Amino acid sequence: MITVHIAAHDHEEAHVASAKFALPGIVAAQAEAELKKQLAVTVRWAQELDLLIGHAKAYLSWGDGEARMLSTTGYEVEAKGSALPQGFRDVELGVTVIVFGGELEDAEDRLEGLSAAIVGQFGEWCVFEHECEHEHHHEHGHEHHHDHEHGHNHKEPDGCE
Amino acid sequence: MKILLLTGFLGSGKTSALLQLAQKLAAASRKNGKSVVIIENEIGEVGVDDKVLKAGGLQVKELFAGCACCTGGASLLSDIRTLRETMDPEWILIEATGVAYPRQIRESVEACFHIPVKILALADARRWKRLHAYMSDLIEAQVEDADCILLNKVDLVETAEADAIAEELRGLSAQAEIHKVVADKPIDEAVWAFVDRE
Repeated sequence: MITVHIAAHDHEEAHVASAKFALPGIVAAQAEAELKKQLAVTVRWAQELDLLIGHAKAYLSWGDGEARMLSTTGYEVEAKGSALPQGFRDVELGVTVIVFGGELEDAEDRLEGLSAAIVGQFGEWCVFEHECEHEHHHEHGHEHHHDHEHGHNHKEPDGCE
Repeated sequence: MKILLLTGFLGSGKTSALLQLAQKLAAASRKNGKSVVIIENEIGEVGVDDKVLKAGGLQVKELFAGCACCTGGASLLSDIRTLRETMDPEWILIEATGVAYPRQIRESVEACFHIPVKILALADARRWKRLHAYMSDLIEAQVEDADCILLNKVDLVETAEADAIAEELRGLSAQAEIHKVVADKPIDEAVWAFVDRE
């Protein structure tokens, strides 16, 4: 079971959602391939909902300060940074998606789907821990976060009613 | 101590440009026994750019307390004060969030430290028209006080379109130097001359 920390807030008109989790003993290239695919899915998702992507940005980090970044502004997904390590490594992943239009919860849901897809690549399930900011967010979370079909489920967030 | 503020919309190439500028300034500062520190203000709760900058061998202080032009303003001033007292770097380079209004940051830093703040702005040539149409106030505010504007990703638009955007930028910021760049590739050294100009 992999714990995925999800945080989300609004900043003026921007909906900002982030996810962070660690994958122990994996092949980083496999995680990057799925991450790249999921960022492309995020671009299509934004297009379908007519959202403007500020950016979708992610990192994979391992070892002593080594990191690789992937990003998109609604076009191709670009990668830069350190060369991926060989073999099995403990890898940390972080993703931030910033969109304009739609609802904050849409961005959170997309990040849950993205995280579940990556974690699912390694035969694991997710537990989501949310940092809640406002009431609307809580209600939405209850409606949507009990979905077990895609290899992810929901842990009741601390401090949420 | 000198301070430079890097601004521009999300995805405009701030971190790519900063990586090159910071490495150049850090090499020069090392010769004087001084240092360069980056304050990386990210709007998301998960820092991404700081990882890339650190992997590039740079000293980075993350600022997650909110956007430095509004909710994170006090934290930014506190961080600058701490850096001055503990490290006294030659340069502090502040990378603003992609939704920051730079004038507010410049005014608060200058009022607090009495140090002139230079502004380097990035504009994304490929998305300029769409972003400008969608949120003109923010997009214009991010370039209009700049000392230097890098019109980035010009390899992804026609030359005539890049020229037209550069003209628009000139209209928004008469005092700024404007350079067309591709920040993922080495930027001409001459572009960075503005940082040493009085």
